[in-house]
Amino acid sequence: MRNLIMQPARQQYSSAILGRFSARHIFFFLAAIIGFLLILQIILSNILATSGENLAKIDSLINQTKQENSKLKAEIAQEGSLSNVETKAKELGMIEASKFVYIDRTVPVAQNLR
Amino acid sequence: MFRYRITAVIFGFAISAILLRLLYWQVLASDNLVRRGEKQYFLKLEVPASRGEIRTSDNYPIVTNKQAYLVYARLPDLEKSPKEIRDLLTPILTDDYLSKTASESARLSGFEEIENRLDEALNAQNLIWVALAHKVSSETKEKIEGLNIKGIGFENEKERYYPEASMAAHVLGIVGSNDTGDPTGYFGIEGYYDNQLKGRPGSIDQERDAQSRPILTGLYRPVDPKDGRNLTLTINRTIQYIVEKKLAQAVEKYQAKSGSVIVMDPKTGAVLSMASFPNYNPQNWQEYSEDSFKNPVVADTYEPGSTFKVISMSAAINEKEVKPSTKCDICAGPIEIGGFSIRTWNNKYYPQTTMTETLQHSDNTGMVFVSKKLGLNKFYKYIKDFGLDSPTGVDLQDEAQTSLRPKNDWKEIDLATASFGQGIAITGIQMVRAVSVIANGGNLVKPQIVSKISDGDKTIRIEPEIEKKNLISKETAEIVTEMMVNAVENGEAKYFLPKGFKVAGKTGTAQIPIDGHYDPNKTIASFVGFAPVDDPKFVMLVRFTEPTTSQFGSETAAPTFFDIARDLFAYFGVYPGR
Repeated sequence: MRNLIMQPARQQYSSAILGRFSARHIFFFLAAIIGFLLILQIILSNILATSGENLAKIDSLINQTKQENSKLKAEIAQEGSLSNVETKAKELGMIEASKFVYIDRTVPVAQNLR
Repeated sequence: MFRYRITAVIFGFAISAILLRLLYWQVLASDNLVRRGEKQYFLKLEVPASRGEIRTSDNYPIVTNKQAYLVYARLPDLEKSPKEIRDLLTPILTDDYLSKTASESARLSGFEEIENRLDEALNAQNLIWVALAHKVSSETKEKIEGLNIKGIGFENEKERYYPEASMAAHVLGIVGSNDTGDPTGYFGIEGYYDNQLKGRPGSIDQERDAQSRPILTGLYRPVDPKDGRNLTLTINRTIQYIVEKKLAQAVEKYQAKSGSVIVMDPKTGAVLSMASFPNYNPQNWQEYSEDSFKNPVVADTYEPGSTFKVISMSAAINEKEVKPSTKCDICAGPIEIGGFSIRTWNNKYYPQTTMTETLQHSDNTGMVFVSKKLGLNKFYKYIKDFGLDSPTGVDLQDEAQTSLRPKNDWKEIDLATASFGQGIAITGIQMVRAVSVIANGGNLVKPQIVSKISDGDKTIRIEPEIEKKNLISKETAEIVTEMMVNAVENGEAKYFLPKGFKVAGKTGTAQIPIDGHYDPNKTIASFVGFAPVDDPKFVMLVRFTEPTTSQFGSETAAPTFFDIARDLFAYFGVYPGR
């Protein structure tokens, strides 16, 4: 009984909307949405396709940076090796101390020995 | 009706067969099929783990990793003939090889060997992919890339790199390959800590397009590699440098077959330096024989000779069997035991010699007197207490498994000769540890080489370990120390002692047993000692095998000990008077 009362009101509302837009309008509206979505898909596919290549480039860059880092680390270690330091020191004219002289802590440095 | 039933049965069977097949594909064979499918569109890459670094106590990477490359050929893609490629690559790969080797023989045979290897690889039958050279440098890679040879490619590899070249080679060990071709540590630290250093390789599963480029929206399953842990050693780079330099000079000067030195902190057991000559370069370990890799300090046993007298004397004094002033009443001449005659090293005899003088003159008869006072039971107990019956447990792979003969097998002559270090075999590291007991006031420490294990931000410290406390009393340690100081200041090696310094030490000259008798011309010359005596910073053992300019420890090992000690005093800031 309640359904019978409600039905005329719904029909009245639908007819009011449809009355404002013709079937042609609706067709063009749906076609526009479909067209928009198709273009969007093409754009996104295009972006994604090139992103794959970019990702490969980034991967390669990360790899290259890691390799460079490892190379630099090895070079720093090589430069800091004691044999290298000794060679450089000799090139600068330094010589190995052949004798150690110890200053007696109990005697003042400026003591007059005369 | 009959036809209807027949048709129904046939359909029933057909549907059941389809359902069973579907059940097989969807449930039973599902995992296998998924894997096979994934293989077609997933690219699986193994991401190798980086092997951990080894650092000296000043945090210097004495072993690190360097970027290197594997050169390979995809045989179906080659456009040039194998001979043309071989001729192009051989000079470049030979240069790469020669830049890493110092061996003259390797230099002469290098070109030919590489040429043959390339020939073999490039003409391989039924293979698509062949490795042409491992661990080539970035420069070599660039040179090969410049040749634009189609079908030749590169893969990343890590190479172990030793910035200090052969420094501490016997401590470090080498990295080779195991049966499956994975990098594996052998000998020394690399061998002992292989599980800590090697890490765990990771992998990447990624969906790829037809050109093998990654698909951004595709599946990406990374499993990160777990890099190996870094180790920090107790080895002090400066001391190691000093020791190696002086030892190399001494081995040459005394024309010894080999030589070795250990420097250890007697309070903690931290090994500050460990060196042996001849040594090897771990970068080119393939050029050396396998015998070169064993660390003589821990792997070789020797008869310690007179250096052992300090251990016997410590035991007798601790047991209050003798005092420094006790006089020997059997030292007037050779002692006859079990048909053997025990003499002194120079055939000089000191009647009524004191125990202090026994060490000073390195008197074998005096030590026989000590052993008689002590008796086998106590002597045997002290040898065990001083850790001479078992490995020290130092964290190096190649430590020798030493053991003592059962006590029941010992005869009177064995006790007598063992008291002055003959007829008993120990390693260098055992000797240093035993003397550390005297230096540190009575505690048996465990020698250690690694002080820290680092895993990212997490660091595990390996604390010094004291295995036995008060093995001898503090008083005994002080008395024996004074006796050792006297042995240095008034003994055979007194001329080499740096002026003003107090060093406790003892020389040793042991004959080498060969085929059941002692070779009269071949000796092991050694000197063990510690300084400064009031607060020892180091205990050091210097040992030469078969020195030829002089057979005696007092003329070879002792001068080397003091030569090194002089630099160590300067390094530790120890001044004369201590």
